[in-house]
Amino acid sequence: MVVTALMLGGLVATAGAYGLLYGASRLHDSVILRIACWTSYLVLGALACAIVSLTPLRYGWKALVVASAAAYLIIPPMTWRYLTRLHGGENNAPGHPERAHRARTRLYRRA
Amino acid sequence: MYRAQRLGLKYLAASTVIFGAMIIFGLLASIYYVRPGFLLNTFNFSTAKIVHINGLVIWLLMGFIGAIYWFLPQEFEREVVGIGLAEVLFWVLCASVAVVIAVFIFVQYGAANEWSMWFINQGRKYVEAPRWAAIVISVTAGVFAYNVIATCVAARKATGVVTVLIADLVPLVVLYLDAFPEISNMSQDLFWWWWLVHLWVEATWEVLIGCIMAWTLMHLVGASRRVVESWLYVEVALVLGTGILGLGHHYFWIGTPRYWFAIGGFFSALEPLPLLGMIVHAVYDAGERHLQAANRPAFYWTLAEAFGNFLGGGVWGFMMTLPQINLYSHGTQWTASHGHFAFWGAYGCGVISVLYLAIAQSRGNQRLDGAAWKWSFAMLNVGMVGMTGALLVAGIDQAFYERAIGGSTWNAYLSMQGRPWFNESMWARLLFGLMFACGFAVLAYDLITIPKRQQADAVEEATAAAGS
Repeated sequence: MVVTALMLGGLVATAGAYGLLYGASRLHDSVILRIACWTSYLVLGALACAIVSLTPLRYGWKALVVASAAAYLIIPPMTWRYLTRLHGGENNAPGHPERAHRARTRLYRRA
Repeated sequence: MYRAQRLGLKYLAASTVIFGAMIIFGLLASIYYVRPGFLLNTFNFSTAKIVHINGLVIWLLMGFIGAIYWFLPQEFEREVVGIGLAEVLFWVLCASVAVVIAVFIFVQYGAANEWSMWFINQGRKYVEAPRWAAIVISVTAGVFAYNVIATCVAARKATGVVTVLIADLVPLVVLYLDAFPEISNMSQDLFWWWWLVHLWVEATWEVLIGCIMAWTLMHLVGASRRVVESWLYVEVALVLGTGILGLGHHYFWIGTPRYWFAIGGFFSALEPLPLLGMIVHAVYDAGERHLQAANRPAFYWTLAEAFGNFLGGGVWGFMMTLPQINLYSHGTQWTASHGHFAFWGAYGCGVISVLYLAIAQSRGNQRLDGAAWKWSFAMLNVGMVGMTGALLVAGIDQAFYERAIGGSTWNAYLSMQGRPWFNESMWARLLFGLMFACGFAVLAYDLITIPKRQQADAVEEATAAAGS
């Protein structure tokens, strides 16, 4: 019971680490961060496999753990895309200071 | 400054005072675990715990109300409708809280009759305040809801955040009425009582803090309304979708049908999913601002809210939410560990963030910085992580030896109290609790001295300008 609980907690903790490192690697475009990000997801996958094969949880709960592990894989990229699209759309809105700044820069370059 | 904003500052100040009182009684409660004879027959553990957990509810509730009174006039660019009534009720609520705490300390308990229920203790955990005080809280919540709705109607404008807020205020007020019925069947009573406690904390409060953090992000980092509102809708849908039926994770050992275990376990297991999205959002915002903001304390407390919510609610919650584990961990120190961390992460950090934001805005958006907020930030968070870590070790020990092996007997409970892991964890909890209390003292010092320091800075700048 205790080992199962710790593994379940570990699963979510590594999902958090994966999300954090995914965001950091997108911000800094760093190979090390990208490797760390995928390493944390590998640990998450290993934990999910261990929960499925070693713990006394019933099949339904094991299936839920596998489905959660799959969901954790796609949530950070999906959220990032959503945020980028939202912010990008906002920055392209007419009258937005950033759009105005870009337009000024283009004019300057042309001149 | 609008009258509602002045009222908001008063609410935030009162909530900070109650936060302090809650910490003192929490420290007292932790001493009983290491010195069981402490204040024997003078001030019992149960009373210290009552003040501690009721203080938790009231400080957060007052913090939320204060935050909304602060932001609402800015949202509508007008005074809040019915503000006079709200001002009167603020003082009535403060006086009621003071009287209830005094009754808890000096009277403590009474005979099992109507008088005790009306004037001493209503007897339901988290809502022990006597019935007259519960009526005051209901009226205050009702007037608060009226303030928000009437202001929205008078302004003839409904923003996304305010629409979500109004939709949330209805269940917030209605669910509190669940504190009143007298149900003699213990199972039925606990069944409905959880509707109040769980649905307040994991549904309506989540939405409330979502709205508050949406406003905070707009004012703090200039996040656009469209971005914040879109994210708020997604988050509210996910939190409500997983949180409402997560109610079943409380239905252990109280005689509820078995299917609740599966429902509760399933929906609670989904709760970390939106929290992971929140972590990614926090990283995005932090990266976009390069960890810089004019109001650094508020910005850091906002980040702490996202990470604390994920760790306390997500990691700690998922560890013990599946029925096979919950069956044993339910009601142990493990639950206390999860409760401390989740409340702190999801709500406490958010209220402190608004405190700093409101203080800065009330003083013309002056830059807030210095060493004190950093010390309080570090001590409060390290203290909380230490306390929850210690409680986790004690809870695991308890769930394994007292529940799983000992079979939850009275004898197992008593022998558990002498186990070294349990005792050492209780000492560690007390020490980290002291660190947390020191962190609060520094926070209070920082908040009190901000105006004085800003005046001194202004004089210094003026002198330097005159000299040059």
